[in-house]
Amino acid sequence: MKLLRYTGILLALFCAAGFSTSALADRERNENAKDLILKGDAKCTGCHDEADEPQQTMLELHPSVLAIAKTRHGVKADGRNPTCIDCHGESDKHLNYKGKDKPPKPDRIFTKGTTTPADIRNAGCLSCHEKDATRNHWAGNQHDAAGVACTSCHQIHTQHDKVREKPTQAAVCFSCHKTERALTHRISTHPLDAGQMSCSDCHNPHGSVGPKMLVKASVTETCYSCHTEKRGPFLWEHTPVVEDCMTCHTPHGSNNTPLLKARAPWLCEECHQSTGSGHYGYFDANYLPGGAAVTGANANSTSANPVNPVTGQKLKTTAPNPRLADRGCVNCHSQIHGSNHPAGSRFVR
Amino acid sequence: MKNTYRESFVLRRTVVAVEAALLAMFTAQSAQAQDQTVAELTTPDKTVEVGAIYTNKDSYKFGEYNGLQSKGLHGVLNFDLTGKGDDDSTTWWSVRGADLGLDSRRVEATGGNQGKFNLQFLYDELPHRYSDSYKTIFNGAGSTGLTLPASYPAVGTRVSSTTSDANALANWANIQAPNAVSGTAGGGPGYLIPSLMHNENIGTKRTKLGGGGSYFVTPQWELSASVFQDDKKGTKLTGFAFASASTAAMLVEPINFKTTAYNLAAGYKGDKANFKLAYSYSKFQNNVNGWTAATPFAGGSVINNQALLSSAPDNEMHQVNASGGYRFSPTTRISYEVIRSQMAQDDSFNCQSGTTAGCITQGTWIIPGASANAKVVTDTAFIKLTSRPLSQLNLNASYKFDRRDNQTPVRTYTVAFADSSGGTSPITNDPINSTKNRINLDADYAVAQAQAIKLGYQRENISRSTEGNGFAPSRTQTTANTNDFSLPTHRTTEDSLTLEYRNSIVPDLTGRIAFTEAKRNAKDFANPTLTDTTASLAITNPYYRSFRDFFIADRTQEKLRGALNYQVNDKLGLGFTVDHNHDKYDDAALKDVKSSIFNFDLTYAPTDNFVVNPYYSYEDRKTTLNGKYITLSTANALLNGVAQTCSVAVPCQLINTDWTLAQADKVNTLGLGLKYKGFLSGKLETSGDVLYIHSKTPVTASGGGSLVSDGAATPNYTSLAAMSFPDITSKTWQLRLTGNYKVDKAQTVRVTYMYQRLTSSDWQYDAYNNPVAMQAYIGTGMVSPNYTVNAIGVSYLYNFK
Repeated sequence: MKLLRYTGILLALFCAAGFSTSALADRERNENAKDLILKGDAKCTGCHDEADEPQQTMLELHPSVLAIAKTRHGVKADGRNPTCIDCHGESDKHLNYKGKDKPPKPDRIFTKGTTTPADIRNAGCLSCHEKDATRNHWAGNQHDAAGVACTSCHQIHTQHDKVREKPTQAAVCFSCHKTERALTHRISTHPLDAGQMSCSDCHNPHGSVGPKMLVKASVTETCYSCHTEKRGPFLWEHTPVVEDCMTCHTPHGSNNTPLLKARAPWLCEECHQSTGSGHYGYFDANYLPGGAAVTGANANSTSANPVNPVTGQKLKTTAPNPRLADRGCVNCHSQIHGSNHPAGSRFVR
Repeated sequence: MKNTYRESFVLRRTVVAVEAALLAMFTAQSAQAQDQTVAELTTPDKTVEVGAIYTNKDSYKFGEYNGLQSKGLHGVLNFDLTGKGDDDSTTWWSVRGADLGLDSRRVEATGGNQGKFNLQFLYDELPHRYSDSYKTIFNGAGSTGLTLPASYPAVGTRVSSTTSDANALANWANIQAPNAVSGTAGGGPGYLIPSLMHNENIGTKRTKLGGGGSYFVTPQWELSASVFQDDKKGTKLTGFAFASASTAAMLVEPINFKTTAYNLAAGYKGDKANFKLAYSYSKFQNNVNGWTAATPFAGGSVINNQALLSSAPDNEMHQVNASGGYRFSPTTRISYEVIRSQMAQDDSFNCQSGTTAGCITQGTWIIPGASANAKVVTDTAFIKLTSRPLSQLNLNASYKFDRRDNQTPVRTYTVAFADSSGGTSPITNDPINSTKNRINLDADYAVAQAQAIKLGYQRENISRSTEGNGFAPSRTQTTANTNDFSLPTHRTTEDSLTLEYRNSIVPDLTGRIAFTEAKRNAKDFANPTLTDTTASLAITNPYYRSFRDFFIADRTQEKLRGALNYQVNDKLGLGFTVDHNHDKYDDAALKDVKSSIFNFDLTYAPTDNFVVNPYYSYEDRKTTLNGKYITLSTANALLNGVAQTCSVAVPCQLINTDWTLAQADKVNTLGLGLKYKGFLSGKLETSGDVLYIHSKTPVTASGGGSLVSDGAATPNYTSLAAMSFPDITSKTWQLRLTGNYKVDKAQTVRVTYMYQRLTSSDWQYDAYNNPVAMQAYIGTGMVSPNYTVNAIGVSYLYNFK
């Protein structure tokens, strides 16, 4: 009797398992399968590839696609949100394929190596997002012209889109902008590598009226966003400062602190050069401590410069030049970004 | 039988009942399991991370921005809590915190009812450590009054006599005292200053706090508003000239800034047209109106024996921005933006009281107002038309107008240089205006499948003018009645042409190459006046008359951009890019700027669990300046032993041969990124980054160097051969490893390890490490950064739904 009962239970289990499997298959084949996330997504999430992988549903093949539900695109009750086909196309050939091999791919493919042109891929996104004034300058901007697609940078089916996260954004940009990747490792940088700043703090990758897709209309205004103290307007102005910070600075990284294109005093001498040494003058290593211009014949020839009674060394009329030390000219002209002191015309106040 | 039948029937009934129950159970379980799986995949993850990280050494450079500047244990606390309403709800929210155990912490929260309203909140701290090797003799770092130590000689006792050896060592106008080993009578600066130097850490911290939100009045109309406040506090290094440019020191400036920004906007978005009107107001408030430092040099020539620096003035900006777009057809679109900004400041002048109290009349100073009453209005207008008349052809035309109108009153300030109590000179401010017009035209044509050519043209005209007395280039040195640093009135026109070719015939091989040539012509450049024939005769030399500020000088610019990417197979990808720039100047001291950067990348992903990405970048940049060393003699002199006939009436121009000074930057960057998640049956996921950067900055001098006089009554000037500087170098090794061990679905243990080493050598600091190495500049004692830091962290992550 027990044997019969156990046999019955085993049979029941077997039948139940069979029933269960067939029930799943029935559900998968059901054209009216329940939407999981987006309106009409059952057309995709409810299907399976019967040709060669009869048990593999979308859920099993590409479970990560469902992560779109973790994003604002996945807020089902927002009627503005797209469905699968809004982005991937109607994909009739893919959906209705009856062959035994793998079906054709959907109309629009966004994965690596896709052959779907960028403008086709972007069309789905822009059908909504181009209506927003913040993307008015996308068309024709450097990214658009270079064939960059929205999904070249953005990940749609993930809770955390790397390019929208401050610590990870730069890595996305650097996948193309490799020069800037190298520059941000220089001894003088903005805090990009530290994850405390993102490229989009300065640049609008969707286009702008500013140069280099800056977030503001000019370089100076972009820099003033953080460096407000340099905005002025000052009583005494330094022209390259009001015109373009990048006359002297390079923003992504430099060997010359703070983010300078070259070292003072020579950076200053690119405009302010004159004859001789001293102001606007000529400086070479002869003017370093111990250099020939410092210890030369003239240096200790006058009676006004006697010897150190302790060491016996002569004091010099010519000293190592402070315009070479530390910050060069800015050791004295520290208000080089502008001065509001009545006596600040030379930017020392 | 009956019984048997009954038993059999009973059995059958039992079996059917069990089967039915199991069927129901398994069906339910299966559906439930599926629902659970779906729920797992679709419900936002929430994560909390708690732990600690230990750093084994203090280093400001290592901790420049990351909050790990101190040796010891630091807390690790991060969280990410994101959620949303049920299927019928459009509610969503997210609260996230990062680096809460460090002073680089950040908390942000967003939420709302999607399509109806949203709210955001942000709190963000950003440290910036600048130096932990700076040294100073001053007390009061961080305050608005820097004072000298009590043991420092009183200002009245500091003399500048050189009448004897002992006096020379106590010469407070020339602190240079090589190898001084003890104080002389009154205490010599060469001995006292080094002994009084003490360390001060320099750095700032920003704290940003704010929030905002937006509200959809209708699906088309959205209103938004935000307020943010950014506080910046701490210290920075600022150079300070006492009495004249010949006495200076690098001092600690107190920083206490507050910037508040308000933004309001209304936007409309329709199917074809959109429009946005925005207003922004930004106020900068400097809580340090001015700061002083007691003069450490010989007294008597500085007002109140202290120098006063005017810190950045309080200022504000109003901005109105109107932007929009319209789609004429699916292939033709126009966008525009018009911006007006007004920046103004009327912060009271901050100057020292002299014989007459206040700033308006200070001793012999004459200040024409209580403030600069400065105002600048800028206008920007931009319009862009994009169209695709043919499927292969994209056209893009844009026009941009920028104007800077400086409405600051032009007045004459009769002042002395650098708080000097000496004679005053009148000087007039010279507000700068500019107007820019830029046109861009681009055509992109697909010549064949996967091949395109782009042709671009740009013209930019810039006009600059000044409101004051006009310019006086600094090199004229003709009069103090102008701002030495303002510009000549002039115009520039720059035309640039770009040709680009893109090719992706083979799907796995894509490439592009673009070349741009731009020519800039400067017009109406006012050359230096030639009135000064005695003080600086050399400026009359035609060689220097033609010098122009490089950013407005004639220039030819060439740019080459290239990229090649080859996806060898599913596992291996290769990439190469090149950026080459060459700027050539015709009539500026700056002659040539050239840079080439090459980048190589390889990505190898043999399995889904393993990715390796080595890369290498090389930059070679060179900036070349040209000049000529000229000195004057009004007395008969010898030049390299050859007698010259000179007089006051007809001074000699003693000219050395041309010199060239080139600064180069040669940087090798080698990186390797690794990710592997196959250890311990997939429970352990590891990633790492290795980075090595070798940087070299040679400053090379060639040609004729200085002319050095022997100081004799009939001086003999001899040429010093130009001498190059020691290379400025830095080497960075960086290793970052992370291991995530998944205990179960909800729990992860994370171990991180960071090793960073920097060795650097920079003569601009290291050669001046002796604070009395120079006559009248007190050195900082700073050295180029060198450190080795290890940091290890362990944290526990809990993941839930």
